Amino acid sequence: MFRMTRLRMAITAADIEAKLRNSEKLKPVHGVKVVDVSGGCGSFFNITVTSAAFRDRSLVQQHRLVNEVLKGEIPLIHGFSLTTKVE
Amino acid sequence: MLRRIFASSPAFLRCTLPNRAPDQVKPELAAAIRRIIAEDRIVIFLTGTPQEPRCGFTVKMVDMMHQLGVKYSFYNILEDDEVCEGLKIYSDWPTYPQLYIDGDLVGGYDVCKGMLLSGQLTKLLKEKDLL
Repeated sequence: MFRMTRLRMAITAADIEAKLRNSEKLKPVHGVKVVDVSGGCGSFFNITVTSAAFRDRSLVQQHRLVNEVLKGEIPLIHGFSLTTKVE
Repeated sequence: MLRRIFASSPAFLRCTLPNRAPDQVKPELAAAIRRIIAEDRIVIFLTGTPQEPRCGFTVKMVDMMHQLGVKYSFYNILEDDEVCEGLKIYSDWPTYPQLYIDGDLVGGYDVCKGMLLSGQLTKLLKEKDLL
């Protein structure tokens, strides 16, 4: 009988962190902290990003920058909370 | 069976999420969105209503507005899927709630909270004679 293997679908905190750390838009990244607060389900994350790229940008522009980097991930998660800090 | 597998795949989902700009919202939908945003000086797109919020961030946004003591109009994005999805593209902002003042997007809850803590939100509201 055919038994379907459960597909690994969940986004992990590490996935998001790697995406942010490797992004050209956010360089130089001084700090990234991503915590899965959904108990490991990959549905809700608290994200903090510290970058010089945020300098001279309004808060909404800073958040937009991060939203742009995570545009592939955001539709796959239930929600996230973002804090940006200027280095 | 196969369709379910594909439909569940994050990779497949990504393929169905093309990069789109605000100008790629259909003209009629864009006009409808502009009308909603222009209904009041402060307009908030909520998940649910202030009385029956459907999301923690909407609760927090409503509480923040209450705390500030400002008058605002709201739109429940759960009432119209087209507006819900169209506004994300139109505003280039992927989440709800979204706060607008005099037609300009201020941001989501995190941005508003950050601005509140830094004093920028109060300053903005006072500059516009809304506080």
